[in-house]
Amino acid sequence: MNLRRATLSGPVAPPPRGILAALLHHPSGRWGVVLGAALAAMAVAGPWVVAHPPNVPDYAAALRPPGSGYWLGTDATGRDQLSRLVDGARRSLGGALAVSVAITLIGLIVGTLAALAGRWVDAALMRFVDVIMALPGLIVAFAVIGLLGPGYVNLLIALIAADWAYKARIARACAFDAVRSPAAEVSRQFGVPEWRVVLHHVLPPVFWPLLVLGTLGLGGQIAAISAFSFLGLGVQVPHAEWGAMLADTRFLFTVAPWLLLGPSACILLSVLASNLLGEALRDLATPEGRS
Amino acid sequence: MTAPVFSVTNLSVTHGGVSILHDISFDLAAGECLAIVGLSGCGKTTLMRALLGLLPQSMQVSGDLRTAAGTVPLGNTRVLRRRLGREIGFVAQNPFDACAPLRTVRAHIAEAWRAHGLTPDHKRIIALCNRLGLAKHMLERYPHEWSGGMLQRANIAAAIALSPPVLLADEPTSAVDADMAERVMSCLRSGAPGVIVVSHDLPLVARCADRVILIEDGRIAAIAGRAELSSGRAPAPLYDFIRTGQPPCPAPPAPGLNMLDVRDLAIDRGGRRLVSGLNFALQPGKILGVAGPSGVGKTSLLATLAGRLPPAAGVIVRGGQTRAPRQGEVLVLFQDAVSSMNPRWPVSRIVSEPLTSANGRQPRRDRPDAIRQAMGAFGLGHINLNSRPGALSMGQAQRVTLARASLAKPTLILADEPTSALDPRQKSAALAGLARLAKAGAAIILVSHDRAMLRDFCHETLELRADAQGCVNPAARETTPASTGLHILPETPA
Repeated sequence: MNLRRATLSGPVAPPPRGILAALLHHPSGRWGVVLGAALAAMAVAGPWVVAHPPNVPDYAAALRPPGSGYWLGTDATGRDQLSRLVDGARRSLGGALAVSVAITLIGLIVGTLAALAGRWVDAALMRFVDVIMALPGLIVAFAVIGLLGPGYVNLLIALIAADWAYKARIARACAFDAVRSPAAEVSRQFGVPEWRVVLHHVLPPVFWPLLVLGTLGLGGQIAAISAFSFLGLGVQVPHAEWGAMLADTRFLFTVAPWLLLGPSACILLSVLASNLLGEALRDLATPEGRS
Repeated sequence: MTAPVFSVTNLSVTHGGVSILHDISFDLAAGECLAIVGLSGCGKTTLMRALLGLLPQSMQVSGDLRTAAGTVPLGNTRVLRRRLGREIGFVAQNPFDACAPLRTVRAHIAEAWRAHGLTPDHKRIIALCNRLGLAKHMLERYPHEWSGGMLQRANIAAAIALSPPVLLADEPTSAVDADMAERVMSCLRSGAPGVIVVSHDLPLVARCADRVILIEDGRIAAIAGRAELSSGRAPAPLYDFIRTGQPPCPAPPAPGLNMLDVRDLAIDRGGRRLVSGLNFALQPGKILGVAGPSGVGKTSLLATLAGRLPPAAGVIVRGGQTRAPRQGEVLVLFQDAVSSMNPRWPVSRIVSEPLTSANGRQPRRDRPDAIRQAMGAFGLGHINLNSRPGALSMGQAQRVTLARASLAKPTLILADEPTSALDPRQKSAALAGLARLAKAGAAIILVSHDRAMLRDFCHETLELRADAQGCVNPAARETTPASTGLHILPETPA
């Protein structure tokens, strides 16, 4: 205790306020923010900036190597690789973000509800979660796609169906502790209404771990969207998506190896960004970590 | 005095340009027991860790340690650590933290040999257990099956396994029941020729230490021998230190109506009757101490009074009616004050939470004044209202919960060991806070192991006693016929 206070009281810069400032202050969070912001900017603004339409073939310009006019070259039907990469960013990154937000919210609601309601509601919800968790995620995702048919939106639904149960399990464990924590207990003794006890003392300790896991999981979701699209179960032609782009061009590896570079680099960088951000958020998730 | 077996010269520790320990020098003679006392944050734990070579790399340590094996610079942690076990034994503060929970206590003691690549001497382990009064069969049990006092003695056995000439102990009794503290201290004393004990409980260590060193702000403030201390000739700072621990005396309770009347209360827990035939009454401002050995039902009694555990028999009358407590009427104060605060909130929001409740609601614009007033009343005026609970000391944290309680205005406060983690100064400040709450009209039930504190501070003390069946003995009515199952010691506030 004395040691901890001694290290706190030294002439150390005061901890930054606000989560973005704290992230920029964090050694790995800084690079995660920079990388994530660059990728997000590419997804949002890119399609207006690039010179060529992403989905219109131009057979005269097929399989051009990187150079002026086509910075990353062209694919077998003469579509600009850079335009497709930028266009695909929306589906890869946006899809991963949507899946992560959805599973975090579903997990938060189901888990907190189970912990708050207790008794048979808790038992019923958690046994259902157990059933989902007993099945491998891949099988669940394949089953949902099998039911709904291949396609981008159906793929996102499948990924959500495969992953929400884990988050619900974690949320329930955190909420179970938080509902009984001394802080919540004292709050109730003051006569604070239960909904406010939940809002103030139960939801934050549930939300933060889920946010950290969701951010760390972003990379996995990007990889999953790419993998399913690679198998032809996700984004359909002619639309671009990083995994689908890899699938389309893998036979041309000996002829046009540059076509693999762009999508794989993008997948790599976005997984890296999500890991860096997640790691930083994990450190900042506790109030102690922020000081 | 014989030649020193352990001598520290000019020990200084700095961290990031801030001096934590300044020029500490002392000798330990063979056969001597030296106590190092001081308030939290004075640097005594840093001192102990510096001697063990366990300070983080970011701290600059200077000074020398001389033992029979030669002189080592205290900054050289590698050499220092090799000496641990063989030349210096160490007993940690919390015995449960010190033991690996998945291994038996025998494995823990044997580790003393294994750490130095030696084969454990099981005959010596048994001999040590006999000497320290530990049952042999307990060695095969896991730490959680042991009591704190027993386990601390097993830790002492591990520390003296290789017969080091010097034994260091950091607050060895603070995690141990008060009944066992004396026993642990005498085991320490007999364990090694030279003993250095760090503590904030001066009265306890003064009984068995030959010399006492008082540390204030990282410097040696006073040194005194046992004879000087008892004869009143010791330096003044030591007596000031003892006085800081004395609890304040609360105002007498307001005469008048009983706000809580407990009649023939019985409490069951897990099918076992813990308490039976309990009778007492509380008036506003009354402070009732509750003492008794671990497991006798003190915590269950608090849970019953808080309305969370239904009584097995008897009635609890609140303000003239037999009913469950209303919201905001009863407030429980926890031993671990930090965990009873939302770690993400600034202190201002924590303190003002009662003002957001249905019965204590105050308009937002009035809250800053109320917060400042409450913080000032509990001696926290200097605290940054934006700091989070993690940045507070234990004593400050406990007083923040008291300031919060003062805004909640409960009629009954149940305090479960609120001072056991605090140093003397923090303890008396926290007790002064409790007295202030009592003066404001709350009745307080204070549970503690510290009988001396209860005797000095409470208007009345309730002694819960277990008989062989685990019940409060209904026959123990020799002192006060009015109470069954316990005796209430009327106490004139000192």
